[in-house]
Amino acid sequence: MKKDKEMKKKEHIRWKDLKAYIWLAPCLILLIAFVLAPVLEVFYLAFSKISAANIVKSFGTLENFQYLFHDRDFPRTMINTVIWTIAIVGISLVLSLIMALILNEEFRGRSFHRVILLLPWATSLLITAAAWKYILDYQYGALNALLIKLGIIDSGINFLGGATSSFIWMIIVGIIVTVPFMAFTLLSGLQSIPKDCYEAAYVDGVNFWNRLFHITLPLLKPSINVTIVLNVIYVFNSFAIVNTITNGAPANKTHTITTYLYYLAFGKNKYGASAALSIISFVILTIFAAVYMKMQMKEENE
Amino acid sequence: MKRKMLSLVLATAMVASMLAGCSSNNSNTEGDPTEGSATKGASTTETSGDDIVINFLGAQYSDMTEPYLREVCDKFEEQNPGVKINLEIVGWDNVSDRARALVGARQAPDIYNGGTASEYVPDDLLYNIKDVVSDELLADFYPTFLDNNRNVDDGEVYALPYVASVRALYCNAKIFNEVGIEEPPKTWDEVEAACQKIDEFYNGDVYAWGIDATTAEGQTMMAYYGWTNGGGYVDENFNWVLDSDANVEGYEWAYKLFQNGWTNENPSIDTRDNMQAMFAENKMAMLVTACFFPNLYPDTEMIIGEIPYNDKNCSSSSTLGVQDGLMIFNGNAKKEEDSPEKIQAMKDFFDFFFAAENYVQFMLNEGLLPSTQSGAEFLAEKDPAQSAYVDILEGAKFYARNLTEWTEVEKTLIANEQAMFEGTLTPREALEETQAVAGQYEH
Repeated sequence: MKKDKEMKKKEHIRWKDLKAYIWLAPCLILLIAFVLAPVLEVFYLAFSKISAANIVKSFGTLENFQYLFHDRDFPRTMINTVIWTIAIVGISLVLSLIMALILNEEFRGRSFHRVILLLPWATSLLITAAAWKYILDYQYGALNALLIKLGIIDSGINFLGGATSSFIWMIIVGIIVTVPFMAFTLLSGLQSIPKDCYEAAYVDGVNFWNRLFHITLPLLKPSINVTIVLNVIYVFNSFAIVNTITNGAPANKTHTITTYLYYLAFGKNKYGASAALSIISFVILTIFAAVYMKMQMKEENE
Repeated sequence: MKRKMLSLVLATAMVASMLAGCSSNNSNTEGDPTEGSATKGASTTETSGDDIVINFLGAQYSDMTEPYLREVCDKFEEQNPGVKINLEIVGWDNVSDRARALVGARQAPDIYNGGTASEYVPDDLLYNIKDVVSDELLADFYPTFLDNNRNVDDGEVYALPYVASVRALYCNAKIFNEVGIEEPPKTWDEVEAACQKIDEFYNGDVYAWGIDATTAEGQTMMAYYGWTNGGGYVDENFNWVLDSDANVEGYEWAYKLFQNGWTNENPSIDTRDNMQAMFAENKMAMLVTACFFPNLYPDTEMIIGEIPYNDKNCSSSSTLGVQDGLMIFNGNAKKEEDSPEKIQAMKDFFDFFFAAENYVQFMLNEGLLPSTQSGAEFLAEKDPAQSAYVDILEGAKFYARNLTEWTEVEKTLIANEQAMFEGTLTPREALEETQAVAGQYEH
């Protein structure tokens, strides 16, 4: 909603319609108070010396950034975040596209399946993550119990035993919670494709793959782009899964930026370094959004 | 084009909102909508008429904590018209985050239970307790408890001993009976023998020994394996000695138990709660944990012993005592100085709260131990079993929580322990890397 209004704002400025400012004022004030002011504050904190009690001692230091660049766990966290984001968004996109295509076909019980798809998204992420922690548990986990009952394995697998395997499992959980929203965005995109295109293709005898690659995907591109940008940001900033399942263990090897900056602030009392890290992630995301948009615009012009 | 613009705007707004969320934890701005309702409890200052309002931010020990403390506060308010206690109880995992966020916003509660006082002392945010506690009550606290809270730099006390607990070795009686072990093991050798017996008897289906290296409790390893081998966190001058030979040997021993397959598989993610549950389901035979464990599982039969020690280097065991403090924030952490009337009201409240008839019921509810001598006497009459722990407590050792850098060192130690169990660091390397961080601080 806010974003809609923000966009409207730009148009109104052009029309020099003063009345609009009055209508916009409440929203603007809210945005400044709840978004802009805290953002500026984070910048201020990132360059400040902050005591263990969370009191700002002085402003104008780079030591928070220096701390990060000397921190043993920082490189691993950055790499993890990149893998985390690309893997979840990439795999989810493929799966969501397939689901959206299926749900766009006419079949009995379609509405029912659409609702089913939406359910995981309607569940609180924290609850999903906690449930998965138990599903993957070595001792009591439902997954091990199931695999043993089915005779696939003889004894339980320690899914969350090492950094690599637990990180892979968290990515899988991430995919499961990302797919519903993505599939719905794409489904709404599919529904906006005019039926005539397909009818014309039918008449010409175009096969499924050609329809997919030459009609559906090109026309779906705007939806795909929005989905990618939104989900990259959303997944990049995701907190609940890692925080609930491993909380960075073992040895801070499964953190992503958001959980690590929380750990720095509230685990280690390094508030300044934590703010510095959120600045870094802000810069990364801004660059990503800008480059991606630029690429899209260039493509469009060509 | 329009779509591009829309997604760009959306993207920017989302990035910005993420930063905003982060900031509201660190500092006060106009107020964070998600914290709005929760903040009211602790941050509202004197508003209603001439009433004195005391904000009390406390940690939740069990489901009984909040109702009981509420009851005590109500009784106090009844007897002291014009004084209101604003009680806010938060789960243990979050209470210190909450306190630091409030302090950063200069909206600190008046009374706070959780975290460590040493973090707040350098910024002069806490009252010296002798300024806010009556002389009678001060004299009633066990002197060792007060000493344990003494600030290393100025020798003053900035936290009231609130509640205490001790750690002990709990052995699963059912498993011990089946295997045929009669006594809890006292020494490391006896632990190994017991582990071997249990492991062979159940063919590896029961964990003989529990190790906790999680973010919540990993710091206890130094107490369980360092102290019991003559090592420890700091020397007598409060300088860190984490990589001493005694500590390294202790960690090597713990690692050996793990490698032999005698312990839980995932020390880095199996929390104390998880392991207590395993123990209660007869899947774990021995676990060092807090004295309120039996309270949580009244149906599980347990044999209680002291934390095992290495009899080659020590003559007796060392018990880990854990003490939670009550801190009283001064005007520097709040928007205004406290009036003399308010300070008097707080003194009255502490006298009331720590009066044996109010205080001991709290201990009984939670399975915790009192820090006052009158409380201990009263407990001895009411519940001799729980009272037995009080004697152990008097000889207990405590964390070096009175050091400002404690939290940072603790977290570093835990991360390196986890690396040890993952096999990327040897026990010696894990402790040396921790010492490299801790050694920067001198006292």
